[in-house]
Amino acid sequence: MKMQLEKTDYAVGLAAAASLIGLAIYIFTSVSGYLASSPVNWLPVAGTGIAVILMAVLIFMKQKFSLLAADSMMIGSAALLLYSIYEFVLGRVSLAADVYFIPVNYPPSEAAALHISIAGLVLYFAADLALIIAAFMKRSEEK
Amino acid sequence: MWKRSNIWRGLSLVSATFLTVSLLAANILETYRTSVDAFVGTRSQKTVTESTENAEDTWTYVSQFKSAKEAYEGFRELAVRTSSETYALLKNDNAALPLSSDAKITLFGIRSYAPVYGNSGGSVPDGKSTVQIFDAFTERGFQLNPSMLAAYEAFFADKEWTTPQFGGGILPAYAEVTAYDNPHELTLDELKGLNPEYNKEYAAYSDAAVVVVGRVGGEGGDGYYPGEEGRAEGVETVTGNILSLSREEMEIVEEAKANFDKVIVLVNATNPMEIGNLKDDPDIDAIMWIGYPGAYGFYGVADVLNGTVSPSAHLGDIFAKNSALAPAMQNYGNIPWENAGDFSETANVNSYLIEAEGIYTGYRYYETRYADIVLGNGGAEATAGTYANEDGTVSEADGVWDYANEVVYPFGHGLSYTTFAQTLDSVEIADDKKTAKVTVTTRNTGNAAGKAVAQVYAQTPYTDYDKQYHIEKSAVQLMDFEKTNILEPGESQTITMEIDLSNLASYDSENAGTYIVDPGTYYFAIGDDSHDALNNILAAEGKTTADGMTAEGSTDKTFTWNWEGEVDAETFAVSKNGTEIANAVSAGDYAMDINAFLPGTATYLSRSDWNGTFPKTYSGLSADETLSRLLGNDLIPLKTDDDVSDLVFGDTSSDLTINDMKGADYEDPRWEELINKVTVQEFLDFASNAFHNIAAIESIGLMQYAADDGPNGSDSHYLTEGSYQGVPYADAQEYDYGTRVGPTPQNIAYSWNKELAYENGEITLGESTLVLNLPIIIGPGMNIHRHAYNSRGAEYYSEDPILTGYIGSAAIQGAQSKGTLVNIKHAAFNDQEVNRSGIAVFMNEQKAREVELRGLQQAFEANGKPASFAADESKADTYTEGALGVMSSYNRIGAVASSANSGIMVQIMREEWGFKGYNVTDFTGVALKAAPKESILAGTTAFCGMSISEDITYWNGEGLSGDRDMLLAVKQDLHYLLYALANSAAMNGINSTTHTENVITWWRAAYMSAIGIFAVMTAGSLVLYGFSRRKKAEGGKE
Repeated sequence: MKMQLEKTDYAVGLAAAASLIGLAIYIFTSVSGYLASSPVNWLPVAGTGIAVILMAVLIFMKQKFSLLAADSMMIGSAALLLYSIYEFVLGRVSLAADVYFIPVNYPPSEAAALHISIAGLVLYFAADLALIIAAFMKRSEEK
Repeated sequence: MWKRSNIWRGLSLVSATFLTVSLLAANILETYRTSVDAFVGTRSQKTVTESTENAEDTWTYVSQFKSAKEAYEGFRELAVRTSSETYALLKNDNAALPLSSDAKITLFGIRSYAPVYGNSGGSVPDGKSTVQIFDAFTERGFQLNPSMLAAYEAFFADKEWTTPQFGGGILPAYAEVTAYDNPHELTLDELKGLNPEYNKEYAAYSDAAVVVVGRVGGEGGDGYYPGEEGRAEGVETVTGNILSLSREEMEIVEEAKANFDKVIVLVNATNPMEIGNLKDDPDIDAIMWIGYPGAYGFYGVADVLNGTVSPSAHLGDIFAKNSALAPAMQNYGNIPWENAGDFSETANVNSYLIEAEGIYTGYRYYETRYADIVLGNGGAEATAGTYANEDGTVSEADGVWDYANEVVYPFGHGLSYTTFAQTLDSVEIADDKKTAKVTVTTRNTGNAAGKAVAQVYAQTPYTDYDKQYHIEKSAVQLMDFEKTNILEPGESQTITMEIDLSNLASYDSENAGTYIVDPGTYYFAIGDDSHDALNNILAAEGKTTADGMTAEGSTDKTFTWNWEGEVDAETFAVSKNGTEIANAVSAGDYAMDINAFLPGTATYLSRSDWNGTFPKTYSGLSADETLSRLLGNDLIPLKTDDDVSDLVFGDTSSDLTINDMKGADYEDPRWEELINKVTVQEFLDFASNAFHNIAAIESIGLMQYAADDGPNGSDSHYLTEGSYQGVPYADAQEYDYGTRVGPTPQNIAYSWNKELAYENGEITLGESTLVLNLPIIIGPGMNIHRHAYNSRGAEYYSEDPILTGYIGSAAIQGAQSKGTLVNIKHAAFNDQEVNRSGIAVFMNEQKAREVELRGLQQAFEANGKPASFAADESKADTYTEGALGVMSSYNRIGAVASSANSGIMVQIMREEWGFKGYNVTDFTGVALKAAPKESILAGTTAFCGMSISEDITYWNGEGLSGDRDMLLAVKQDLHYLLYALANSAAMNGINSTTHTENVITWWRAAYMSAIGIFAVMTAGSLVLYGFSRRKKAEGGKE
């Protein structure tokens, strides 16, 4: 049976894609370059991973769940994304402190790690925005 | 709407997003709380003492300001009074100055409207306090040409003052005219475009044309460069260097000359400018150096111009016709290691600097070469490109070096509105030959009241032994100085100075490996400046103008004596605290001589062959294996299996706290008990949280305090935060002004007034500590002016180590009398801003010890006590302890991070000079560039910064637990830092009831409100979502 996708599904799909790329950037900057020697905080990985799974379920299996359950999945995935953002930001604050506030030279790799991380965070926030837009949309069951 | 679940679902996510951002903000702001305070000028924690039964014991240091009004007026009064004593009158033909107090004058030049009030970065003046030049002049009674003023006013109409690069508040400078490569002077055509009638009222305001020329300066940035490299496109100057006047500035000068009988030039720069053309121009009547006057300093300028105050400052740096020809300038700027790319980024390896000029910086070069020519010892022969033509341009052919072509104003030069006669009454050498009593009488022989400076110089013999072992001698060197009181016409004052003869000794690293004194004839001389004193000495040596002297000398202003016997390697081979002095930076890992690593690389300038040894630029060097190991900043392996079972950390059996140690002596046996309570992790946490901060150490009851930069007052805090003995000023909110309002430190040095420097230390640094509760103030700056082109000279004092040392020592003694834990910056050799972080600075040990270190030594040994203090019983308790704090430099000392160079940090500073205090790095954080473990071993007590670099994996108790030396160093460093804090205002107002409390700052209120609002919104949205769902389930319509 061919699946019928709604506008909300595209928005959630966009959120999932942005989250995955953001997560890839998080992992890349955590295990290579300036931060290669420091331990990786896996909580954002877990948080984002679960959020993406929930979003996938929301897109592809929503007909199996009640509206309340589907909404719970959407809100839950948003909460997990926000938690991932929270951990991601805190893990990069010291880089920003060095790069933006120490008035003399810092290793270029530190600035690179920071700036790539900022790109990742932009994607995370884009994912959050896409979920917010999806949340405001009425789904067919609600019409 | 209440039933539309999608609305509430969406809103819940929006509010959750903002809640997350608010929580992040809260977390970040609290993590960097002290840094946030420093940046935005808040105070998020306060110290509260509930009971003050014995206030005298509690408040060791008492502020003289009980209200914000008193503080504001006190800082302002000192700033104005000090400033007027820091302006050096360089030329005053036909008594052009002073002007009448209501003179009608025309101001010329962009700096006459937008002068350089102070540094453009680091220790900047407080814009909120700044009284602009035209307002100050008008208030003092001058009548200013409104047409000219209107032209400049129009130019700046759409421009605003900026924010400083470091620190807070407003910088009273326009970014559009702040540059190192362009003075941004306006042409006459541009003035005409701004106000077609700019020149219509010359006749009505013709008492004088006052032309202001200036150059900016400050921390950071690329700084000044000589020649074409240093000039922006289209900028042409008199000598080809940016430190001489530009074509546009000269057009303004010519306009003034063409239309006014009296032309006065104010030099608003701290870099010595190349103004030979102005000196030689008969139509320029007067020149006055004003440096950077500070927020209120133009009141002082007006007071000097109108004769209320007779100028009494003297140059602390030589003014050359072409400063780019100084031997030090041959090695300056970015000279990269060829193999810099081979190092890890975090090792911070970039460039190097070989200071091949040796001891011949500033006047030591010019006067010694002059003396050698007069004495027939050579020095006249000069290679193309190393000497100046008569007009100050660079010679393009081999020729003759001529003092008159090289020097505009000598070190120590400064005129007055009156005249003085000075006599050298007596010189008594002490039996142990370590000191001499020199008595000088000054008599005011003119018609105006004024102050004079007694400058005492010396000359030591340059012998065959010196030549054999490459020891250099300056033909003249400052030994001491004193300033008189205000002398009325006909009045005299006699001052006796006790001169430290150790400053005559030369460092012999090759043979004796310590300080030596040569046998031979020694001369003392007084003089109006260094050149005058040298001429007096040359006269005593039988020389006259027939031998090439620029003027006849006075033999009666000299004293001659002989050091008999062999080369003396004993008298000054032991420091004042009894430590044997031996080579510290001539060989081994901590060597500063590049020849110790790459033999035969550098030839140091020698007066035995001026032309043949004149420095060349040493570029293209590669670090060899040894140098590479050192440059890598990881030179001492961390041990893991030492027996440390006898070392106690984290002892909980003692009740002793830091409060019990208030004012305790360094040798107090209780320190061991206290230090045993501290855990290694506590020390590491303290050490890594030192950005404008003194971190708490819970186990010993040390509370957290804010600290601040800089040498000219607090950079980030304002009187709105002021308090008196723990009670906030009732009128604080009415005085939103800073404490960094005085003239720049270089100006203060040019006053040559130790008592004034002491008072500035008391108020500028000391009262900033007490009023703003900042136990640590990072300052004063005591690096030597190596040459004219370093753009950060304003924060430092002078090219001379004695002027630097004694003025710095006075400022520190004043500050410490109020409890300030000073951080002298920067130890050591922070000689340029270009690549200041990471650059490897090389020189021979004689230069290191006799120039930069000799200046610092005076502060650490509490030397230079003013004669008036020595004669005053009430001052007996001053100058009893040297500086208790220091900040190491960004640059490497030799190949090693400065804080890790044990030769300087331990052998010289701690052992020879007896330094027992706090030693912090300069904003490195805990990172490889600061060589953290090596620095701890070398006595570093804190790392200024906000983070621990990811690659410093040992920064924890476990990481250091197997290295006995490291753990012993941690204990030693704790002793240093706690002793310094216990003897500072950190303990002010402390007793058993003292504790800290959080303060709801505006940013705390903001994030708390945001969290509250968005949490309620999130919860509310979710509840209403549930409500809407329920309604829908019940069959309601959305």
